Amino acid sequence: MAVENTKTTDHKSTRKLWRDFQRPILIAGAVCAIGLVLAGDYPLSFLAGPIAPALAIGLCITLLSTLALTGRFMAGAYDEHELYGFMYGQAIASGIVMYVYMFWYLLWRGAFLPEPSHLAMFLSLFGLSGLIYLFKKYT
Amino acid sequence: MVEDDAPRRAPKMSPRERKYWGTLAACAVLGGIIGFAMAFTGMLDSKDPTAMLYSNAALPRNLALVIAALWGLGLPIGCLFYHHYADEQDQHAYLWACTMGWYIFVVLTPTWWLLGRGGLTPPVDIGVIFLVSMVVNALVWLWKRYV
Repeated sequence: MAVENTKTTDHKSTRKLWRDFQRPILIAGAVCAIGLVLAGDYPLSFLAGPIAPALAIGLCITLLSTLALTGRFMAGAYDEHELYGFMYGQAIASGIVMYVYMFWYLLWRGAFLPEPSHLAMFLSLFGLSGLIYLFKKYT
Repeated sequence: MVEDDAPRRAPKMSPRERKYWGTLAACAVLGGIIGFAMAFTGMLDSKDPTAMLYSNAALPRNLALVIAALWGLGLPIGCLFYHHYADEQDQHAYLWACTMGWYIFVVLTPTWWLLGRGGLTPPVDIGVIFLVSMVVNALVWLWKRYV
């Protein structure tokens, strides 16, 4: 009984930690985006163009550490239902990567479409995986 | 006693298992046809054997359309049959495999993109990321399914 109580308390505290952690994640994302826009010559350099190597490394460290910490806290904070919704969203997005990329790539090689864009795929599918997660969680 | 003396035979596959393996075999054959068609075209383009695998040269338009149609129709149909015949353990392995493949895609794409823009690596190549992600996907599926 004591063990169960401890587990519940741990889970609650991890959930609270995760809730507290969501704000810094959003701030880190905004910092990365603003940094990228300011680093270029014009606002569209968010999409392309060179940036300073030090900035690239700094942004990579910010991004990877945020992802690692997100995974760490989420794993402890999610219950089975949420975890299933999360994994389901990612599985669907992964399947769409497999489907869309290859399709786009083949039509590019046949000169029907422009070259596949990593950014278009990444942003649209990242958004899609989040939407599927929210759908599985709240419907 | 009679059972002990009887020659051991591999257990017979259930109809569901036969359909499951049939689906995987059909997908493998379809992948083989697509791969062969692309490799063969690459081989015609160049004498270099590696060109068969890594060529991004233009494909004849009709061939590209046919292969894209094979992929565009074959993958959803294969997935439909796969999910219909796969057991719970397989579905679980599939979920994990896709999640790990997705993690690779999500981590590798922005990291490489940023480092490429910083001039520290060559420009990001989504084809390579796609391949790495699919290999990880397959390895995790095999691990979760058979280990």
